[in-house]
Amino acid sequence: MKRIAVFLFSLSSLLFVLPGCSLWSRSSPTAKRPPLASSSAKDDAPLVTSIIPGLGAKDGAESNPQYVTEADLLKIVSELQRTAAKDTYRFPIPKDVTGANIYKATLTRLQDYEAKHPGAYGEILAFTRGRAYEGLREYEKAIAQYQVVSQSKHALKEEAAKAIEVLTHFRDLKRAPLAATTPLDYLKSLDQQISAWQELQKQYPKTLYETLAQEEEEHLDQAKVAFLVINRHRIEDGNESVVLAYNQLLTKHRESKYQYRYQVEFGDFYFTLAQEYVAQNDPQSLQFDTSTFEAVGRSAVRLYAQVAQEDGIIEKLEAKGKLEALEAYMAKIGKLSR
Amino acid sequence: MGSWDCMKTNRNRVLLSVFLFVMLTPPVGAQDFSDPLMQKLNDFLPTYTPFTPLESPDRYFPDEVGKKIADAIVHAYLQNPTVVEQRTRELAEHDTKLITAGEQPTGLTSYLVTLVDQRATEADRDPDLATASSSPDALLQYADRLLTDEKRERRGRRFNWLLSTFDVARLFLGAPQVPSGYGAQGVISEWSDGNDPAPRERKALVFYREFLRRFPDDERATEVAQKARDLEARRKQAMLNAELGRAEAAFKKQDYWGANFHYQLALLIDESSTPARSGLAQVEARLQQKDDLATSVPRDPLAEVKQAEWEHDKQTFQYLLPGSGFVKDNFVVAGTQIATEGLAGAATFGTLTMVQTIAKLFRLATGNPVPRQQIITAGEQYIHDTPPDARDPEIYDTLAKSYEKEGRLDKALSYYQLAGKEDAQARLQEQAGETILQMAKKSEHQEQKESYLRAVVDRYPTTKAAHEAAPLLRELSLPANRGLRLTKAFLREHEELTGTGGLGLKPELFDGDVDNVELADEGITLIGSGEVALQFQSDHGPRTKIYAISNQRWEQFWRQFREKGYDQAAKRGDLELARLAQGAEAADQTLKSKREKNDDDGWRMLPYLSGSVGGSGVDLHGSLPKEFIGTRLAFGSDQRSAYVGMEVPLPFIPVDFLLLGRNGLPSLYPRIRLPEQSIKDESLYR
Repeated sequence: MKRIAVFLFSLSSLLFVLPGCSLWSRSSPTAKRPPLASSSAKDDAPLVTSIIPGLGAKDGAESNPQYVTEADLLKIVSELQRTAAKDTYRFPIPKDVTGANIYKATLTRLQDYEAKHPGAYGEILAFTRGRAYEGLREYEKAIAQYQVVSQSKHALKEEAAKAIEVLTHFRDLKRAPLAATTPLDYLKSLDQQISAWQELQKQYPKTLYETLAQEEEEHLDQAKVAFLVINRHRIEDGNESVVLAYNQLLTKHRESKYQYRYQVEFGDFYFTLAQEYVAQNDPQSLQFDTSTFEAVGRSAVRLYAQVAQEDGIIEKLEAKGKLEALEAYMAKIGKLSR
Repeated sequence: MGSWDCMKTNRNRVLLSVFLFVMLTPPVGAQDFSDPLMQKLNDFLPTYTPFTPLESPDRYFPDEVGKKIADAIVHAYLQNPTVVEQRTRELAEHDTKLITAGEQPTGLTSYLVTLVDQRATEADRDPDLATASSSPDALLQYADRLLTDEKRERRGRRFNWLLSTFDVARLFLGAPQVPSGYGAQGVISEWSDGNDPAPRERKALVFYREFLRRFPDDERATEVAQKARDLEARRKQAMLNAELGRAEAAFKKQDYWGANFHYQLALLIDESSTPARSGLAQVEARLQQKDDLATSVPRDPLAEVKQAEWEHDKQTFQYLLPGSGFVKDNFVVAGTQIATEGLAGAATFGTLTMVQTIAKLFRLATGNPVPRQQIITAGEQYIHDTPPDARDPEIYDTLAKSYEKEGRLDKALSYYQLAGKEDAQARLQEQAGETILQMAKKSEHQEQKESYLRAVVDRYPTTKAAHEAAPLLRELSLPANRGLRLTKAFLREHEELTGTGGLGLKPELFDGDVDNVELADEGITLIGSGEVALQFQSDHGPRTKIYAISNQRWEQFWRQFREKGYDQAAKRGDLELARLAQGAEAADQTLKSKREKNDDDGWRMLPYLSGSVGGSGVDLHGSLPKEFIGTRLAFGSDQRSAYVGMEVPLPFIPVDFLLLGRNGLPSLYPRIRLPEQSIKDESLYR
């Protein structure tokens, strides 16, 4: 053991002599540097200080107290701007460094900023708030914030006025009532609104507003499916209509971030159909038709399996779990029906 | 005898009363006197207020720097990056002038740089998403690199085995070495894995598909499509094999419904799969057959349980002896050992196998390495199917033991009760109480801690653990222990939280001078109802006083807290405060300073080592903390001699050296550096 200790000591001494060895860490791709830290001088300080308690510099020691107001504002704006060009139709709403929805977090941080620095940069705050609200599809609130800027003499006045013009269309369309007395009228009314959102997408190509309009259109398509699912027992061929609506949703929104969620929900619908069939036809009775039950079950299996076999998606785990549940259910019913 | 019994009963009653009195009497700090005079005489620091007067913030007017920053932000919104860059340069120049003049710089340039370089920031935050949204060249380059990395790693691992013979130091001494059999073990295992795509290749496939989706008209699309097809074919084959494997395993276990399900899944992957179709036909035939048998042959209701027990015994035996994989891998090891060291090598191999078996026996005696879920399932099925009067009483004991081994003590207790084993019940109750008590002690959240302690007291009231839990429960219900507790050291570390912009506590509370009132190390507790409990130092230990906080101070504090949480997340990736501020985690825990945390778990700063320390020798291997070097090291003694080893990375060339000291002689082995970024299967779900 003594020999080991001596050798270990000589090895550690060797480290100071050998090229490529230093007391600083090797670059590791897994240890990502947070963006704000990447530019901060503090992070270039020896890492030893961060692991020996008491040696580390105090947070914010390098910031100038005279410009805390500007520093705080820049932190909020750059975090929001980072996500400005994000396609929220294809990808989920981005998260900030704390893992919170960037738009919600920005609104909270702006509120805190106003209380901490009253009266500072009012128009920039209003404009930033407008951006956050429109990201959350809160058009009325976004318009109110943009109006603060457009009615001032600020340099962002024209940009705010443009945003108001677009968002007014969005707000009006979203507020438009669905005048319908029958399910069919209701579906027609939804279709009209969907066409109107498609028109808006054409008006603002390759902008954030095109993405927002796509999301609104998708939202209505989802509403159509949900309406049919809820009312399927009242509508003639209700189940077939739901299947058709789900297929349309999946075909139309191939690029959506919710594509896999729809597949899992469609699988859930078939699973429900299988359960309803079992409730209506006792598996131990003669009226139970195994092939009908298995056909419905297999449709659910197909949809869950498609998601479970995909790489790079979080829904994979959910689909795998549901597939297992379905396996157990089909085995149970299968055994009862034989 | 009667009077003796009576005296004994009375004495027990007196003891019980004294015990209850001691248990239920609140501590001095929390005494509530009904007599106002006593209340006044016992009140601690009756006129003292720990708060500084409230200050309203000044209205802000920007100077020239502020105006430039505002202009930069406006142009960032108007998408004029050149103007933002210009403002950044101007500010950097201004900072340089300030530094030259010996003044403090503005400290804003780095923030403006972040505003300019949003793309780099995004790539830092989520590299995969950034790659997916990048140019066609970058996308292809990344996917190709993943494939190259995978190939390099596979070849590198094989070459490293060969290179392990190339001891530079020994070669100079004229005594070259033979290949190490142990090094071959991993390589042999890898070859047997077949053609399954590795996670890195599957990730490359995701990016190739993304390329084809986004740039279908690119001139490289045909070539990329071919690569994607090849990878997809391998992926499909791997999935098909996995499903067929599961189906066959289920079939062997006579789980025909499970086999049916997995054959169906295999057909979904490949409709033309002949093994899946023939498997399905076999399943169908067996289902018919099984039904016939089930109706004709009377079965022992306990047969399933006995079968499950037999299976468990078999698995235990297999666990103890080297399994098929072990034999396959170790065949090479034993062969090389015998070839290089003769019969002595065989003896070493035999000794190692013996050591492994003894270690397994120990694990078998102390833990539960072979799960008993099958016995539990069969036993519960039997209980469900058999009326209580007809049940074999042995089943309760079997189930109780199985549940105990699985760590499900509540179920085990109820079955021991049914089995009528009172001694086992008492033993298990003690064990269960102690387990829950330890969980309570380890728990960071007060609510969770309370529920554990309550469970011990309610469910196992006669155990030692319950006696220990009762005072802990009482202590936990004191106001100072409910809510978010911040120790004095934590508050010192984050003085903004207690300063004028936060809670507004007087600085004298932290100056170490007891004469002008001092906060105790326990610090403060924020109680949910807008009150704060301060623990002051006193001659009789910490004394708690509760103060109401105005709305303004309460909001100020949480504002500072949110800001702190954001800064910690941005600068250090530490989400603890941010999660508390967002309500993502219950704010009923104790926040400690870095030093206090190090005191609690300072051992984590040591290099992570694994291995064993026994009477005959030491064998440890691990990695140094990445803050220091991050390199791998090992020391101990193996079948040959004592050794010390360390990986020595060399810059500019893709080769590391393994420096090994054995018997006082150094050895130096070259080693191809494998790609550092390993991708785990789970990362593909993201």
